[in-house]
Amino acid sequence: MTLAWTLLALLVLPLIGVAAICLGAAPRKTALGVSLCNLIPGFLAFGVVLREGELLFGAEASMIREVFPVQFRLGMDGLSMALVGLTLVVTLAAMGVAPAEVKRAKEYYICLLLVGLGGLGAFLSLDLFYFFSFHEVALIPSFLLIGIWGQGDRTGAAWRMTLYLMLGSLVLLVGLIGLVWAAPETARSLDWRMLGETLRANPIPGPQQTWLAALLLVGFGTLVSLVPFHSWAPGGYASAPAPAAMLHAGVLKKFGLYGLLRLALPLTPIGWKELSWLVGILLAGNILYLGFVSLAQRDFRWLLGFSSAMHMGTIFLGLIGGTVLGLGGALLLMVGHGLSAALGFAVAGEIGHRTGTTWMQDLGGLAKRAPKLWFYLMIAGMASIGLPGLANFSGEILIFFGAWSAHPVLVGIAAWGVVLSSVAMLRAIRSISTGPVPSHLAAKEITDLRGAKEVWPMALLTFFLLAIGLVPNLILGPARPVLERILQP
Amino acid sequence: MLAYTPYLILLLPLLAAVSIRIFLHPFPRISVAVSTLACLGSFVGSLSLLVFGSVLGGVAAPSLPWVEVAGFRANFGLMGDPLARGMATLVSGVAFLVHLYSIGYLEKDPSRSRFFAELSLFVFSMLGIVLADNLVSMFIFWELVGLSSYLLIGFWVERPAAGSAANKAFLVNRVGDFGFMLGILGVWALLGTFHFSEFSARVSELPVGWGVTAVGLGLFCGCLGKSAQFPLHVWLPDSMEGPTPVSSLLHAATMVVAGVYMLIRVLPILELSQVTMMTIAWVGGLMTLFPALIACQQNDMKRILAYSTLSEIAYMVMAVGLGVSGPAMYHLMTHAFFKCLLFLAAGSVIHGCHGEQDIWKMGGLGKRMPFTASVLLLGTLALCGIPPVSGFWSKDAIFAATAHSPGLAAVSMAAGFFTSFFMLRMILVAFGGEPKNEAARQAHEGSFWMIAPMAILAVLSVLSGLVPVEKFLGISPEEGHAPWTLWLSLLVALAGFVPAYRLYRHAPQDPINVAILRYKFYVDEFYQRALISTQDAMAKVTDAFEGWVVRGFLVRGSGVVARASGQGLRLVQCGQVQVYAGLFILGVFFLLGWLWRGGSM
Repeated sequence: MTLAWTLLALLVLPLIGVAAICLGAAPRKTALGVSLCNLIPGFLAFGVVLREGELLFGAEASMIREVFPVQFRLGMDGLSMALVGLTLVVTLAAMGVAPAEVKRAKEYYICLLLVGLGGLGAFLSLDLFYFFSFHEVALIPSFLLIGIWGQGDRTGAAWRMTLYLMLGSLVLLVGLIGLVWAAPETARSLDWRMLGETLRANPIPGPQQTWLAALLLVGFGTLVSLVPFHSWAPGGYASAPAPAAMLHAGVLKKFGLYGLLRLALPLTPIGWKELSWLVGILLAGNILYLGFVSLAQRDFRWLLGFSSAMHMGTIFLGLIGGTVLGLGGALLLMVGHGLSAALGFAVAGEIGHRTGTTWMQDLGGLAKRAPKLWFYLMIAGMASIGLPGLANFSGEILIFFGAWSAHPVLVGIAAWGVVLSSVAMLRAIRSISTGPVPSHLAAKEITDLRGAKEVWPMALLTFFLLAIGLVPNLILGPARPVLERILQP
Repeated sequence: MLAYTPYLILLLPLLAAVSIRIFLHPFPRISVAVSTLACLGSFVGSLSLLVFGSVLGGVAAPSLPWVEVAGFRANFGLMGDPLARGMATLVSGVAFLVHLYSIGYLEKDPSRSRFFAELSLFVFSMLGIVLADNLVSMFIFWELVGLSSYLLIGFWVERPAAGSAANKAFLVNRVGDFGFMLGILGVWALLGTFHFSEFSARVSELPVGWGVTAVGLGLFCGCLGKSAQFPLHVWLPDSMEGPTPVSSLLHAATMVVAGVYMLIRVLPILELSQVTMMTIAWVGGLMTLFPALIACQQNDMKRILAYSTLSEIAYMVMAVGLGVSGPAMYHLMTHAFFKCLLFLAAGSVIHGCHGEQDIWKMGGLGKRMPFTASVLLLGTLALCGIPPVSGFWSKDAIFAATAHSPGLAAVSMAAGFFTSFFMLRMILVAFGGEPKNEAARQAHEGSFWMIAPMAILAVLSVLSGLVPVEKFLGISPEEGHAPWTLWLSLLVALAGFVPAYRLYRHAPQDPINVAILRYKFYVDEFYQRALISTQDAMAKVTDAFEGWVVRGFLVRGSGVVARASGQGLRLVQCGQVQVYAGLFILGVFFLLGWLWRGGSM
């Protein structure tokens, strides 16, 4: 038994959920149930990947080849496994955090399911067309989630984010087409695995590679909020409802990095090397420039948005390090950041929900009044500033070691970035959780997380942050052969 | 079986911390018992290793894999060498006494479950530093120690000052760790390993150059942060905002000497560069004097002791810089006992006076708290290096090492003079004369839990000077004392008592007032004005740039352009995102199809 159907099931289950909600099933319960059930095909597929290295669906069947070049092919290997796992966990946690009472609950939960589905689809697709479209599919519900259920300048933020990402996608699309185009006519394919083999056998000439790598860098970079294409992110996250911010910052943002790992690095290696000086400058911008901007933030959500964009710089450093160690660190940090950002936005959501504000100067004394919430705030904060034992640290340190020989100065900048982000995050934690309770909150009843029902999503994310931090081989072991292949000429 | 003992020693406190956090925190009594017993378990384990380990020879625990990728191998391995065994015994032993003391000190605090969980977390992390067999593992525990210090300083969450002090401690340490991290990366680049046991073998192949110096200085940065040496010393006095048992255990006896311990571990690398060693020796040398001067004009009892801690650690750093790790370890041990004792005694005073920490508001405590007064006096004799109490022997070993560098000998002996001065000042003001207020008048001794640990530490403070260190730590103190340093240092230390006695015997308020010392040489003010304000100003500027230029002009500008072009497509612009999405995907389909056909044509 090959269990290849599990890959399809991963995508079909959320669709069933969407259909059921449309037909009138209880939205929250359905969404939660579907996300929970989706763990089963996920685990089965992981089992196969761990044993056999990869799992493919539809790769042999030719479906609509005659009419159209696009084929619906799914696949999972050690690299996509990590990101699919991240998506499943964050989706489940996001559904758990999502409020039971919300206006237009039906549409709300459909949107959330679709965002998760988009992430899963993009990580599972072998065909570039689906790879690209699944990500686009996720953008629309994100737009709606921010525009309809968001807070603050939600319409502006939604528009800005969507326009920006669409523009980025456009550049990306040109790059992808160019990539396909660059293969010899007879061996052209939209399947990135075949395309990869073709392009390894017939490498693209140098200057053309540089152009393609640049297009992919700008395209994917915009989706990852690489400076200077970052400014959609903080505002978008600040305005988004908590579950949407969790899914977007935790999962969708990783799509761009995944694309760079899958396509730009192995298929345009010369171009990527040529551009690494540029990437170096931009990622230093992410770390230093956004690091300083995040210091000035006074709203906790904005701070999370900026610091989340800031950490992308460190991941990029892993990508240009040119070593398996660096790539492994980048992957670990991708997963770690996904979990910690999701936890951060979940906590921010709960704080906002309970106190009516996330302005840090208006908050205080949370540690006494809501110790459980404080605990998870600490975990999220400590993870994001790279405390050992939590996943982000193992990613960061491997990136430092992996990039040290090629870019020692950038490693120094990234290490200083750890200090900067600590300053911002510790100040935030202090003003939110310690000191006296401000007068306008003193009269308010501020409850802690109540019972297992409100705790489990955060405990789930914490569990995986700890597990990956303590045993990074959970991620690195299966992914290592894939990462090694990426760097092979 | 014995090979796994280090894991047991390490994991017992972690187990206690986790179980308290998850299950036991609603039951303070059980939490306290679990945490204390776990620490006792670690102590017994370490002690048995110390005793039986030396009988069996080296004990190496098997190591656990953490990360292994492409030639990079970082394992969790534990050291079983004499240095690690001795240090683990010291740390867990002192920690156990502080646990006992905390039972009394915090007996009425409703959050004491959290306190003991955090204390157990600290013991775990500190033992991790001690037992780690490579720099990466050590760095991991190093950071965890930073976290527990941060949590414990900020234990009284409702006090704003505690929150600021906790942040300051964490952030200043992060600055030091920045250099430490780069140093570790450099070690890996130079040696291709970060296992302590492989250092001595590999350094012989190294060419001496600026790279080695840079790496050594990077590692030293870690010590500057954790052991609070100039210019990163500013966090330690502030950390006194934490509960006194914390000040005693973390910020005097164990955590702050981790930097010295680390330096000893990487000594083979440091020794390659004369520049590094000179830097370490002189930073240490000057740092013995600098805080001793400040302490002469401080009024908070705990802060006075904190400055003396800075000065004492500097002696150890100086010794390492002079290449003699034996005396450094020796002083580390005796200092752990007598400084812990001094802090516990100070805690007893503060507890007895209902939280009063200003020595000028105490007075007359000698009659009301005779036990505390006598152990405090004993600790003072040890600190000042008066024979036959322990501090004399260990300080003497360090002074002997300075015999060939008169500059260092001069500053460190001058520091001894001021140490005697400020310690006697503190004792005379707080314990002599008449009570200055009601709290001091009603002062009383603490409970049995507080008295017993002080008594044990007092005995240890006296006896530890007579212990044959080389047997326990595997490092022999240097042989052959130079008599002139011995007599001169003793003379100078005794001389320090004279002016203190004359000035403060009956002083109702401080007869001298030196602003520069009261304001701690304005280092904090300098950091606030020059560094933190600059950083915040830069943050404001970049934020304004981000807000007005990037977000305001570029992004909104592009939005306007997009909307303007949208006017031309009024027909399809019905405001429905689904329509846009549909059109978009359709467009992609067509584009792809067209390309494909073009390709096959």
